[in-house]
Amino acid sequence: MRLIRILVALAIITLVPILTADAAHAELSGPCTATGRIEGKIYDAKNSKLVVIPRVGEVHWRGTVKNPDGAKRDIEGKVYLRLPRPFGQIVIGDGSWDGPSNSAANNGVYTYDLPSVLVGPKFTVFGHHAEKGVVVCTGSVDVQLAGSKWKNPAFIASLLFTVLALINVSVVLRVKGSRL
Amino acid sequence: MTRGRPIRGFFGGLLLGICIDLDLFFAGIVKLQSPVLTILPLVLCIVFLGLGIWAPIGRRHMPALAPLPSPLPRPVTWPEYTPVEDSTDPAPPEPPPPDPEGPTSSI
Repeated sequence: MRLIRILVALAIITLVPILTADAAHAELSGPCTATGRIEGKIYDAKNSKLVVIPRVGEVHWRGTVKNPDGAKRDIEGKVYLRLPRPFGQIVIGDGSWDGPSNSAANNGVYTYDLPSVLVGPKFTVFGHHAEKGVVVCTGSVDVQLAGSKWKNPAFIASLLFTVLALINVSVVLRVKGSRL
Repeated sequence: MTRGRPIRGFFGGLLLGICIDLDLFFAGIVKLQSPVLTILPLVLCIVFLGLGIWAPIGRRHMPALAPLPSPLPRPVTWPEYTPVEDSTDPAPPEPPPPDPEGPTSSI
């Protein structure tokens, strides 16, 4: 029985990460471009796999779409994080735009200071741009904050709670009244 | 009769699933939008509910059943000379006549 318990614990520790690991990726489809420059390093959504950025910094961003005749039209778009179901999505910073516009490009500087509990996880940042109600450009890129995940207090606390939860469920396997 | 802890197993599995979700997320193994983060707690709920009902550890084995007592004796036919209801008992045998010389003793 002790062997079974050890095997179950090993299965949880090793198989779950192996079966659930996601490959880093970035993609951008449609007639558009999206780039960001952080501390002199340029990140292009078409050429990046996993973007590792500093926890604190400022990003010089630039995006373009095609509007050859410069006509005014209704546009809509946003940059967001998707959450697991049943939760929805979070728009990042000022990353949403809409309304009538005749411009085909935009740029700016966004300063950020993210908490240390976000060091370690990989986030996929999604974005899309729509013109006249039709999505013409979509993209996504994996982003990770630089730093050691072992300095993330939330990760350490999570591991401790996992140990406690394992001890708790080990009681479940026993018949009532049997000694631990 | 249930001898395990199914309710504790259900909530313990849910808690364990959420904790493993957080571990996987903070370790950068799964991404925030991954369906694994939703599925894993649900699966562990069901698994530990079942394990709580089953409770495989510490189950006492039933002692081997004692052998049954020896079977009843084989029935025999009721004898014909046995008295039946409303019959009279046969007369008891007469005692022997007393000895006229009396008891003798030899010394």
